[in-house]
Amino acid sequence: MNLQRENRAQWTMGLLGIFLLCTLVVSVGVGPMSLSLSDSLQVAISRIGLIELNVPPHVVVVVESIRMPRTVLGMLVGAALAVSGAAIQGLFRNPLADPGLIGVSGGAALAAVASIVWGGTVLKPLHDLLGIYSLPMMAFLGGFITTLLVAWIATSRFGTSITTMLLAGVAINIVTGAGIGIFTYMADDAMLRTLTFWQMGSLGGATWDDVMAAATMIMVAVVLILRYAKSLNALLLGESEARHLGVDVGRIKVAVILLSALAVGAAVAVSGMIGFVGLVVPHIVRMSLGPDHRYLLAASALLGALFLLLADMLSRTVIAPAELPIGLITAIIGGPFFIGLIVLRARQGGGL
Amino acid sequence: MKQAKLPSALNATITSAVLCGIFSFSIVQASPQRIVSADGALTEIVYALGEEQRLVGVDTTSSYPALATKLPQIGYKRAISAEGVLSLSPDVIIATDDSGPDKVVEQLKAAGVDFRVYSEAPSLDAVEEKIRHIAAMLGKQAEGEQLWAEVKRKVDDAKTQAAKAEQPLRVMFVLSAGERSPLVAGGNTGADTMIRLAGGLNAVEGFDGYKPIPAEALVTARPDVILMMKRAGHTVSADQLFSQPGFSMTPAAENKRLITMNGLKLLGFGPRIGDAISELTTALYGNSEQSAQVVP
Repeated sequence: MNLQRENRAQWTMGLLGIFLLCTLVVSVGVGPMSLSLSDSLQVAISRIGLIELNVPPHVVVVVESIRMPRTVLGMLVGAALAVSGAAIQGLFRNPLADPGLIGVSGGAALAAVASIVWGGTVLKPLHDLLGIYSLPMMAFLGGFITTLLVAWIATSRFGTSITTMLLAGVAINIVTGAGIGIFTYMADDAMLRTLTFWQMGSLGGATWDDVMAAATMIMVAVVLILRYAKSLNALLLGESEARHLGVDVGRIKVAVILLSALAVGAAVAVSGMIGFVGLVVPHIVRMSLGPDHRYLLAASALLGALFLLLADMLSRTVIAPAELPIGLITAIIGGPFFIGLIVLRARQGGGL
Repeated sequence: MKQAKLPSALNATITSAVLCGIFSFSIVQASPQRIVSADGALTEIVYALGEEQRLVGVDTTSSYPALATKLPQIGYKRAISAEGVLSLSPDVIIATDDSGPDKVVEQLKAAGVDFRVYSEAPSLDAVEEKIRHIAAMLGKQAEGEQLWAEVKRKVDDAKTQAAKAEQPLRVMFVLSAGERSPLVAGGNTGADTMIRLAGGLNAVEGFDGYKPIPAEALVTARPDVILMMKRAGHTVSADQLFSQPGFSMTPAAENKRLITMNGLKLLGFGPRIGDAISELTTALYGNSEQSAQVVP
């Protein structure tokens, strides 16, 4: 690894970090309610106990219980999706791979839909017990269990086969898709609408409880995934080569998949389906920093958080006082941007 | 009056308890001046009571009267944004029990906004509750009673009119008919309630909600009349409909009996429900005393 590239990677990460901090501040200061930036920040800072609060109470409520949890959640979800995407792409050595491929999104969606449609009947005891948290809990468990199933199918006494896992993931996605179809058939109009909007993703209604629950799982998963950077680098050479370098390939595969499922499951549970971040963000980072996972993973986390924060700011201001689902924004902005990058690379003679 | 068809008895108890609470509360409180409505029928009631100047925001289901669509839009009623609604600084938010998402409702309540929930059940009882409570909230009790009495009178007239028919007609509500299996209204739907209130029988039995059914089932359902929504641009003509397999073999095809009505008026369960029932009954059983009330 040459020094110039390492230097560049460190600079880029520093810049991303600064951008992220600025965006964080702007995100707390921007919204459909026109509050002054200084008022908003005053609330944010007073939480840490530095200054005396001197703003109207409604400002406190908006900043403290609507904007701040939403901003923090956006960062967590963006980082979780992007890091998992980068790790799964590295593991499968396939640029098309994204966390959806190991079944986590499909499983989460199926469980969420079951929770919406069966909420008043079959799953009523669960709903009475967990209240508004039953859907996120179900989504998380659904995603995690489906991933375990995919991993189990692909594991034999010869180890975990990446090819089998890819096929198993595709097959499981067909089954969860059909399951969602069955629930859609059983759903009434109100459920259908809830279901449709859930699949478009939203950070709206984020509470500190959501943030705490998601933060615990996502931070643990992200930090642990970052520790596998060197092993993922070795895997880029091929499985047998990695084994020769002393990497426990079987363990790495299972660990990375389960950690990704944990991070993505938690993200999907609190924000619904937000597509494209897991696929596009790692590619953008790889194009500018190269495939070294020591930088790729961390920079993906930063860029993912930044990208989702920006998308969410658009989501809540573009058609205010209404809200545009964030999944639409990530796809509408991310898609053409990604196509542009691919075209540029192809014209310059490079590949992905 | 027919019994309200709510999902469960428990739900009914909770709803009425909540409504009673709201009702007694509203007497003590000053009448709100800035109202955000997250339901089309509730918006219509505010307009019908002549207090539309108090509306500062409405959802996308509030499309009647057309003027309501000029108000600030808070988005679809089940996907509202907490800060978006708060930015309109409302004194009160009126919504139905299917508005949401739940977490946003919690946030709005936490922000200290008076959030009032009404039943969205497709029943006359729900309409009565909505009219009475909104009128009380606006300090327009007398006008509210008058509005409800008017609705009640039209419903009773329709009943009398329908009773003169030899036998009730079998009506099938078709949500969409195209190249695929038609979507029709089963039990526990707004269309089912409206057909019964207009003195007809729902030709579709055996399931709840709007579901696609195969062409054969159209024939065995034996509808005398097909009821559809009038839509700008792509209303299906009777000739088109009754040339389709399945529809062509129903009793309705013999006389090409297709009734099309404004969807929001027919299924909105707002203050125009009386007009909608009169219109449907007249279309079904002909016009005996009153003159036809075909309001687009």
